[in-house]
Amino acid sequence: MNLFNNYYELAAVILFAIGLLLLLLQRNLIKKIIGLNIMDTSVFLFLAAKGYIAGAMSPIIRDGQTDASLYINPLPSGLVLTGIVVAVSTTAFALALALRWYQQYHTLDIDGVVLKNVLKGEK
Amino acid sequence: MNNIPFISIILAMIGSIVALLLGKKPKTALAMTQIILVAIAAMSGMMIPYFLQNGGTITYTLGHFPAPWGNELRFGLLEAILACVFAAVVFLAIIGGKNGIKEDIQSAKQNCYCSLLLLLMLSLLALIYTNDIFTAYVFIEINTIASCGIVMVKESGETLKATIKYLFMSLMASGLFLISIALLYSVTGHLLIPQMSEAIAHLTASGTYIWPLMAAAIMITVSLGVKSAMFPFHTWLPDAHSTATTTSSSILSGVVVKGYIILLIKIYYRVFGIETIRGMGLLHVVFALGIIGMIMGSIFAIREKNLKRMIAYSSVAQIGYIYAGIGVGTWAGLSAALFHMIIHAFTKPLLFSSAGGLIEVSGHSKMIEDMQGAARRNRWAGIGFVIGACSMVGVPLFGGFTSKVYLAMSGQDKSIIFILALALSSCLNAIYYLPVALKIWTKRTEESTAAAEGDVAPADYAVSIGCFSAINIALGVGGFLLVYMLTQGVQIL
Repeated sequence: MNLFNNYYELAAVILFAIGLLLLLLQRNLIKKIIGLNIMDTSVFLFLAAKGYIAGAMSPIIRDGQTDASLYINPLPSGLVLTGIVVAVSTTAFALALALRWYQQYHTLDIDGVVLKNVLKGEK
Repeated sequence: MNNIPFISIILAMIGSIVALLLGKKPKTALAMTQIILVAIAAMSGMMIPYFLQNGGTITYTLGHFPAPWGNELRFGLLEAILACVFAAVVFLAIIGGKNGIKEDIQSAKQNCYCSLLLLLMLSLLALIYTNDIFTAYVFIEINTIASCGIVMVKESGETLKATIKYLFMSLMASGLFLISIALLYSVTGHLLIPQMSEAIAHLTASGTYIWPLMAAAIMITVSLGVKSAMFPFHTWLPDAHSTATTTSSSILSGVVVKGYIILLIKIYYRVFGIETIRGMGLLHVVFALGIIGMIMGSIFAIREKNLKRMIAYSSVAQIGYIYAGIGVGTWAGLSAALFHMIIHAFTKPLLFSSAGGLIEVSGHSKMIEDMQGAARRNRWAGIGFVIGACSMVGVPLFGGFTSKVYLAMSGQDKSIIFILALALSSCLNAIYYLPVALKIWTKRTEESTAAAEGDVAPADYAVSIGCFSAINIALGVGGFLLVYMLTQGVQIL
């Protein structure tokens, strides 16, 4: 089976699905944010696996050898780096919103029973 | 001419940093934002006659790396028109919501608001101009954070909830977009659009990697559909657009959702090629969702008692029109969809600015029942609302009518369904817009002294409403000129 040879990609897709479901289905803001991070990281794993060539070196010219086949593909690494920056900033923003939510309602639950009880208590 | 897109992006970027430094002078920051937006609109406008004469496109290389590796901007007539329209709409939305900005945002944070607006403009410009799909992803994220920021800036419980909903929906969509880019990169080996589309053409011709391509196309459609509030994914839109301050509502519904639709059009036409997308059957799905959105959005709007939420739900319907036009899959359909997009970009901010004005003179209540006679207290808002409503319903001589005519004519084999849906949706629009338009002009019986509050509209509010209304009527009467330009423009896709 081709699928088992590409176990990095398989793992990435499974992680992506886990992250996506956490992001969609969890009611707790922190768990949602964790799901978001799992999802982003799975894409980084996918990209890193795509850029890797077995037996090749990291893409920094060594001993003046400029033959491209000796090195791994540097572009996915660059994409991962950019992606990490983006993921960090969105996570920071989401955490700031979660903090504000907690200060306002004293719960991290966004539309479940706990929040309803809090809102009832206020009334 | 070659440098204008790059200069306008950099100008917005510098402006957003300078605005952060102007913490103690919110008025200066706001004035600077407006100047920069006018400059961007004027510069982009200058490109239109050039491209009309010479046609073609210009590719602008960023950095020192040539085509297969470097990063590029690519622009032609279509991009010039869109950049000009977007900058003009953002500018008019700012001056139309100035009262709201002063009331809803703490004065110490107004400069941050200006910074966010410029970041939003910058990311929209980059989405329009970029020729590199990963750059598009980065600017999608900037756009997401900036647009959540301009919702959140009016600090209240409801904006907090709306922002969180909006942010998590958007982030899920961004994740889908990122993995589909990763998939596309892994099967094509390129990130620049021309090289990528060449590789995809080879792959589809040889019939290899069809499943990854199809998965990527579906995920990109879903992700940009979520971000642009395509029908089943619209749930975040009414909250985010109705709770934000007037300027933010105008900008979010007028331009932000459009930026994603344009990116989707570019990906359909320039990355995959429209025939490949048609072969996957995606166009039928987009068309069907557009038609359902057209009708469901209006039905949701009829049930609303809150004026801003009603206008927000009407956006869902209007975005349905745009997607249905794209789903037809012909050049005529595409240019009609783009024309409707521009009409909507000028009409929805008009409605939100007017609603902002009406709400101010109705004791800050957003409920329609409290608005009786509001137009008599703020005449500009009343006139603006009526013109906007006529345009959305599709009364002849107003913008919305012309675009609906073009959409109906583009239908081809889908035309019967399309025309029926257009007619039904227009009737539904009339059901919820016209009572409100009548109500705001009806005198309050019990207290005729309320007129003592007087006409509070400041001069620039009148300018904003006046410009939006004038453009609306101009596009309604002379829309064929813009459609001609757009038909020329879409040829470069």
